[in-house]
Amino acid sequence: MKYIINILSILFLIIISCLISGCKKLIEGPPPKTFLTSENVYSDDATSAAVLTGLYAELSVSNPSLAATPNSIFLIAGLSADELALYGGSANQNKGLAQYYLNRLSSDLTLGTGVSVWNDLYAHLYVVNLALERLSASTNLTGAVKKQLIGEAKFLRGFFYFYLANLYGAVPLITSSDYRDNAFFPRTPALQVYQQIIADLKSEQDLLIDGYAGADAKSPTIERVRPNKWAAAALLARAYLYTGAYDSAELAATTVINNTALYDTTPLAKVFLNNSKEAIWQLQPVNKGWNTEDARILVLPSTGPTSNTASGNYPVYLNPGLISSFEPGDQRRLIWVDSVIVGADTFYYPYKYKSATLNAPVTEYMMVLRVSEQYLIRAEARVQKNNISGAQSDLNRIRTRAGLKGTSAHDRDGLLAAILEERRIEFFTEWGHRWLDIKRLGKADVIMPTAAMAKGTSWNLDWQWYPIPVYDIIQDPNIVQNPGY
Amino acid sequence: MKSISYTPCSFSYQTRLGMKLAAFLLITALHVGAKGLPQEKITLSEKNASLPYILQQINKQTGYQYFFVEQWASEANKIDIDVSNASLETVLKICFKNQPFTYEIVRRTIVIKKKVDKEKAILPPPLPLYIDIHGRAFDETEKPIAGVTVTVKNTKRATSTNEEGEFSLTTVNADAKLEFTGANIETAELLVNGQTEHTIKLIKKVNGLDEVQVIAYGTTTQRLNTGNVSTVKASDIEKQPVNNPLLALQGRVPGLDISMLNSLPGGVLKILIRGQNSISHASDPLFIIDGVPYISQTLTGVDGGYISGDGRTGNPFSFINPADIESIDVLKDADATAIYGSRGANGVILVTTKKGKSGQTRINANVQSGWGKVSRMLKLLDRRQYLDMRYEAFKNDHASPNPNSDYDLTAWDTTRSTDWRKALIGGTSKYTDIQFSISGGNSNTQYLIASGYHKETTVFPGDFNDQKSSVHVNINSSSPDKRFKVSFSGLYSADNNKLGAFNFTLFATQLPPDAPVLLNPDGSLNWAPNAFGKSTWPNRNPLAGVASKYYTRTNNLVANGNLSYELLPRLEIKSSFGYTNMQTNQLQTVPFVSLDPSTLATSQRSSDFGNNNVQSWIIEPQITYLFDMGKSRVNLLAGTTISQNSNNGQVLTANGFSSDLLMEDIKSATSIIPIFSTISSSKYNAGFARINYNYDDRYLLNLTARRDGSSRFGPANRFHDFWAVGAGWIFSKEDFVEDRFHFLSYGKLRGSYGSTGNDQVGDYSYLDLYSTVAGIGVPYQGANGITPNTIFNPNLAWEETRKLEVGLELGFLKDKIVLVNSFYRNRSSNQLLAYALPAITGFTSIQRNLPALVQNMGLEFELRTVNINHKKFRWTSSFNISLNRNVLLSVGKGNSANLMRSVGHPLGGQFVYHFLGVEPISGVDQFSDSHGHPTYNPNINTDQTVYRDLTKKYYGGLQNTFTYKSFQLDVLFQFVKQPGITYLYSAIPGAEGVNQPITVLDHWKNPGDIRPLQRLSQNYDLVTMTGFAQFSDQSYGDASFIRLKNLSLSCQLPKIGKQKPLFQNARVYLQAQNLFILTKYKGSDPETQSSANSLPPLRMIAMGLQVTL
Repeated sequence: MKYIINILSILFLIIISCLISGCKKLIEGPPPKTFLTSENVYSDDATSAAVLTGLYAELSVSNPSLAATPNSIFLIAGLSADELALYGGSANQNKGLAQYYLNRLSSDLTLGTGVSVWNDLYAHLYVVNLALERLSASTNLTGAVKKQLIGEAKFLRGFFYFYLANLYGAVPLITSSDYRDNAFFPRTPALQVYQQIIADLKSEQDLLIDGYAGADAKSPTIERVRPNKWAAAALLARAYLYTGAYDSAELAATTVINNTALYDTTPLAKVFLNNSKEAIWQLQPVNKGWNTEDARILVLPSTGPTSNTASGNYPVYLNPGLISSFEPGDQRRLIWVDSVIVGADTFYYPYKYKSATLNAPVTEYMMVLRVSEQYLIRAEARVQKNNISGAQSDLNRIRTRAGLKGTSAHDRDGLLAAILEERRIEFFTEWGHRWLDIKRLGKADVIMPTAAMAKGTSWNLDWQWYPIPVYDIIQDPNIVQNPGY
Repeated sequence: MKSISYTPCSFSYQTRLGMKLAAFLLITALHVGAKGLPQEKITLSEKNASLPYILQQINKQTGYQYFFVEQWASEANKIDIDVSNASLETVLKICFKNQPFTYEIVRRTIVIKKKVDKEKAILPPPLPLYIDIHGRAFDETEKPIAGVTVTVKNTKRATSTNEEGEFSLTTVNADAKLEFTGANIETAELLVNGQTEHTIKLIKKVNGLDEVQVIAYGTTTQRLNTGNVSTVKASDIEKQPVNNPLLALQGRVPGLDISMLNSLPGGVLKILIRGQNSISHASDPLFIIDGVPYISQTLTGVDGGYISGDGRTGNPFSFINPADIESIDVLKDADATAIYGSRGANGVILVTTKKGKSGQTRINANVQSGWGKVSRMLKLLDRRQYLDMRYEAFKNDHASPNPNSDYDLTAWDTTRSTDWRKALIGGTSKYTDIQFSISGGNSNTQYLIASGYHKETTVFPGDFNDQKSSVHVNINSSSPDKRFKVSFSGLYSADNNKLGAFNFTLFATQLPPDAPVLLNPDGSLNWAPNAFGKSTWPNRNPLAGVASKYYTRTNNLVANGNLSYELLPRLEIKSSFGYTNMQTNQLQTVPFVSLDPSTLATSQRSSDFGNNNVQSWIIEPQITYLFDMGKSRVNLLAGTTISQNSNNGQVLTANGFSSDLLMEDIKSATSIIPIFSTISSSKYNAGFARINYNYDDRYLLNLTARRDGSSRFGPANRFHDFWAVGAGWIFSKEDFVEDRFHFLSYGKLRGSYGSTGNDQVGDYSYLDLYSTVAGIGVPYQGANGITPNTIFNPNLAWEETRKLEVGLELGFLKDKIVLVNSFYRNRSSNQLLAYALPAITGFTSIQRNLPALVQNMGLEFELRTVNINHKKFRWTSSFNISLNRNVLLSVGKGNSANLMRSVGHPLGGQFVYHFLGVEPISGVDQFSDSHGHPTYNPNINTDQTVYRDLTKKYYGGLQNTFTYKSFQLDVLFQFVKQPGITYLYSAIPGAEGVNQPITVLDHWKNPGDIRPLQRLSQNYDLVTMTGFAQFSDQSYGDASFIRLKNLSLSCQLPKIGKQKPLFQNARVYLQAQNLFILTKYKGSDPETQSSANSLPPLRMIAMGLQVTL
C-alpha cells in the first residue's frame, strides 16, 4: 500500500514537471525503421555510398523506361533530330513521343503525358545537392570514401546540368537543397551553367579515384559502373569542346586517351559489352532478367514497330535518312544496325545492344561515356587549332575500326563536316549526341528543315530548345519560358 | 474504525452538564418573596393562574416567603383553585398536584424544587449514537444510479452517489433518516437504524436527464453538463444483431454519421462526427475504450476479402464484443473534446465496458441465432433483355460477334438462363451468438467475467464465415475505508474471418445470364473451354474464389488498470494504465485448382501472407479535488498523459509451391517477395487541467486546458496548447421561471468555445526520409541504393479546429418531454496539404500547413418523450435529426488550383462535366464545354464545370419503445437525405460479356429518340464518351432513404417457483435489422452505394433467450 502510494506520488511529480515545462524527452520518438533520416544516412560510409548507388540504379532503370513517358534523353533527342523515326508518326499512341518527333512541343507536356526529363533531372539534382551539403558537413566518414562520394556527386551535378543546358538552354542553376530559396530561382545564363559544370568537373578530378570503385565507394573493382577521375576528364573534355575552350578540350581528352592501360578502342561487336575497354562509364542493368533497357525498346521483334503499348512497346526505328548516310562498307551498318521486314516495309533498328530476351545472361551494360568520343573531341579541338594531321589521325582511328579508309577531308571546314558526320554515325541513339551537335554547331537551321519535311512536319529555330514545363512557370514566377512556346 | 466509543462520549456529556450548572448559578435571578405577617388561612379563587402568581398570593396572605427559579416558570402548569380559609398545606397540595415541582417548607419559606425521577437520577439521559454509513442505490433493473442526493433528514448534511451508485456518510446519528432525492428518481427515505451498510432500490423517473454520462476523465449528467455529449446505453446496443458495436449507433446519435461501405463481416465503416474537418487527412474520431485510446483504422494488409473501402481494409471495432459494452458516449463540442487536445478535433467516442456489481453471484447467459439475406438486390437484365442488348449493339456497329471473344453469343448456350444474384449472393447468412457472464462481489470487491462466441456465415456459396471468441474480465477493489481503490479490466478477442478471395457481388452483378453452369456433373469447376481449350469465362469461374483461400485472423487485447488513493477527504490522486495489442495474420492463396487449366503451364501457385501488429500503451496520472463553499461546488482536475504507439507489418508474396495443399506454408515456396512493410512508432505527452464550477446546480462553468506534444510533428512545432470554455445556466431553477412557467420542468442554456487539433497525419511526415529505391530487381553493384522521398519540414504542425456551440435544453411536464437543440460551428484551419513546388526544387510538392479554412456548421435536434406511462403500458419515443453544412471557406496562397476552385463548395465532392443529354440524331452523349456549348469530347482541364456535392443534407432516427406488461417492442427508423453516385450502367452497355442494370433498357434506339442513355455499342468507339458520362452529373442522383433499421420484441418470462425461483430473470426475444428500406436510389443500396462491388446490407432476423440466475 505504501509502495503504491509512493508510485502515485512519483507520477505526480512527473505531472507537475510536465505541466511546467513540457517533457521534450517523452516525445522524442524512436527513429523510423523502414526509412533512414538524412542525419543517420550521412554518418555512415555504407549508407552515404548507397545514396549515389541509388541514383545510378534509378538512371539505369528509368532513363529509357517506358516510351510512353518521354523522359529518356536518347529517345526524345533522337526523335527531335534526324536520327529516329516514330512508327505511324502523329498516329502513334505515344502522344508525348509524337510531340518530340514532330518538333511540336507544348509546354504543358508534363501535365498531359507524364514526367519530363526536366523533372527527372532536377529531382536527381536535389539528391546530389543534398548529398554534397551533408557529405561536406559530415565528420563521421572515412576520408577516402568522403572524397570519392563528393567527387561522384559533383560529377553527377556536372552531368545533369550538361543535359539541362543542352536541352533547355538557360536553366536555373540550383546548387543547394533548400526548397524555400530554390522555389523562386530564376534561369541562369547557359555560360554560367557551363562555368559551374567545368568547375565541378575540374575539382572532382582530384577527388575521384584512378581505377573503379565498388558499391562501398572505395574497394577497387573491374566494373566500370561508377564514375572515376577519367570519366570526369572525359566529360570535362566535352564541356570544353562545347564552350570552345579547345586547348583545354584537347588536353583533357588526351589524358583519357593516353591512359591506354585502362582504355582503348575495341572491335565494333565488343564496344557495348559490360566493362569493355572502350567504356569510361557504364550503367549496370537493374531489371531482373534483362540486359539494357535500350535493347528492350529498340530491338524490334519480327512483327515490327508498334503504335501503341498494348501490342508491345516498340515505338521507334532508325530514320531512313540515317541509314542512307552510312558510307559503303561501313561495318557499323552491318554490326550496329539490323532490320525487320514487315510486309512491304523494312524497318532498320539500332543493334548496338543486342541482348533483348528475358533471362539471357547479362553481357551488356548501358554506355554513357566511351573513349571513341574522346578521339572525336580531340579531332575537333585539333581542327579548331589548325592541327589538321592530328585531327585526321584521331578521326581515322574511328573510321579504321569501322572498316573505312582514312578521311578525304583535309581542310578545316571539310574536317569539321567530316567529324560531325562521323559523330552522327558513331553515336546514334547514344545520349542524344546528334541533337546536341547540330545545335551547338549552329547546324540546326541547315539540317532540320529538310529532316522535318521528311518527318512530315516543319521547322522553326525556336524549337531547338524544349519548353520549360508550364507547371514550373506557374509555381516559380521568376522563370521565363523559352521563345516560341 | 472511526465510530466513537460510548465512554468518552458520556464523559463529555457530564462535563457539559457541569458547565451548565455553573452558568445557572451565575445567571439565574432569584425571586424571594417577603411580605406582611404570616397568616395561616388562605382564600383564593383563580382560573388558569400561573404558579408564580399563586405563590405571590400565598405570600401576600400568609407572609410565607418562597424560593422559585424564574426560568422554571414556563415549565409550570397552570393552576385552577377555589378555596376559602384553607390551610397553607391544602393550598400547596392543590397547587403542586400536577406540577413538575415539589416543595418544602423551611422556616417559613416555601422552597420549590424540581421533581427528580428516580431512574433518571441514576442513569445518564439516552445518548445519540454516531456511526459511519455506506450504501448503494440502484434502480429496478439493479443498475446503479449516480447523482442521487442523499440527505440526512433534518440536517444539512448531504452527499451524492457516484457512478457505481455508492455513497458514504460519516458520523451519522444511528437513528437518523436518510432522504434520497434526484431529478430522475422518485424521492425515497431510509431509516439508518444503526446499520452501516445499506442498499436501496429507487424508482426511476422516466427521462434520462440525470443518467450518468461518461466524459473525459470523469462523469457527469446531461443536466449538469456544459458540453454536448450523447450517450447510448447497453440496453440499446443489445437490441441489435450486429457484429460491430458501432453499427448499433446508426440513427441514434445526433451529429454522428456512420455509413457501412460493405456489409461483409469486418467491413469498413465511414465515421464522421459533425462532418469532415480535414481536407487531405483522416477525419476519424478519437476512440477510447475505458480510458485507453483504440485505433481508428486497421493497417494495410492483404485485401482478398473485399471488406475494404475508402482506402481502408476493415474496422477495428469488429474485434470488440458488443455485449461487453455498458455505454458509448459521443463527445462533440469543444467543451467535451478540448481536453483531448490534438486528438479531439474530430470528436471523441468513449466506450465504457461493463463492470462487476456487488451482491449475490449472478450468472447471465444469452443465446441467439439468426438468419440474414441481402436486403435489396439490384434489378438486372434477364436473358432475353441481355441478348437483345448485345445484338442491338452489334447491329448499331454493323459488326458481328467475334467467336474468339464474344463467347456469350457464340460459345454458350443462349437458351440457358441463370439468375447470378441468386446463385452467388442469394444465400442465407447464419448467425449464432452466445454470451455468458458471471459477476458478483461485496462492497469492497466486485468482479465480472464474461465470455462470448459469435459466428456468422456469408450469403456466398461456399464455407465462408467469421468466428469471434472473446473474454472480458473486470475486477474492482477498495480498501475497507474506501480511500484506496484499484480496478482492472481486460478485453480479449480472437477473430477468424474467412471470406472468399473473390468479390462474388461483382460476379453476381455482371455475369451474363447465359453464362454456363458452375460445376461439372462430377463436382469439379466447369471451365467451359473453347476449341483451343481456353476457358470462356470472362474472369475465371466465380467458384474459383471458393477454391482460393482467404482469411484474416486477429487477436486483440485492450487492458487497463486504475489505482486511486484519497489523500485527504475529496482530494484524490489516481493513475490509469492502458495497453492495447492487435495482431493480424492474413493469407490469400491462388491454388492451381482455382486457375483456368489451359493457363497452368505458364502459371505458378502464389500465396500472399500479411501480418500486422499495432501496440500502444498509455499512462495517465491525475489529481482531483472537490470542494464545496456555500452553494458552490468546485471540481478540479489535473493530469498528464504519456503514451506510445507502434505499428509493425508486412505483406509477402510467395510463389512456386509444389502443391495446392502446401500453400499456407511459406517455406514450401521457391521465391518470397516482400511487397510492403511498415514499421513506425510515435510518442505522445500532454498535461491537462480542468476546473468545473457549479453554483447551486444553477450556474455552471467549465474551463479546460491541455498542452500537447507529439513526435509526429516537426521539432519547431512539437508542442501546442488547446483550451475550451463551457458555461451553462439552468434557468428553470430561477424563481421567475418556477413561478410563471409551471409546465417547464427543466431549462438549460449552454455554450462553449475552444480549440482542438487533428494529428492524423501519419508518423514521420516531417522528416527527410530515405528509403530503398523501389523497382530495382538486381541491386546495383550488389548493393541496395537509397533515395530521399520527402523534404525535411521542421514546421509541420497540427491542423486546428475551433469549435463554437450553443445549446438549449428543455424539459416539459416533469421532464416527460425533453428537447435538446444544439447549434455548432466548427472551423478547421492550418490544414496540412501538399504545397506545390516548382520541379526545380526536386519535388513537385511538400506537406505543409497551409492557410485553408473548412467550416462545418449545423443544427441538431433531439426529442425524447414519454407518451403513455401507465403501470401496464408504457410508450416512449426518441427522435433526432442532424443537419450539417460543410464548406471550404477560403484557401490561401500556395494551394493547388483544384482546391482554389473548390472554395465555397463542400469537401469530398468533385468537379464533373455537365451532361446535356443524348443527341437525338446520332444517339451519342453530349456535354457542355466551359462556354456552355455542346461537345462530344469535353476537355478534362477546362470543361469539368459542375461541382458535385456528396455530403449528407440531413440524417437522423426515430425510435419508439412500447412496454406492455412483460412485453417490450422497440422500433428504430433511420433516415438520410443525401445525393449519391447512382449505378445506371457498367462501363459500355452492350460491350463485352457484362450484364447491366435494368435502367439500361431506356436507351436511344432510333434517330429522333430522346432517351437518357446513349446508343448501345459493342465496341470501344463510344468508350470515351461513356467515360465522360461517368464523370458527369449524369451519374449522380438522389440516394436518400428511410430504413427500418431495427425491430426488437422481447418478453419477460414469468418466474417459476415462487419460494425458490429457478432464475432471477429470463426473457425471450426476436430482433430484426434492416427489415425494409424506402428509397428512389438507382443502384442496389443507397448506403453502400458502390453498387457493383460491395455487398448491400443484410436483412437479419434473430431469436434469442436470456437467462439470469
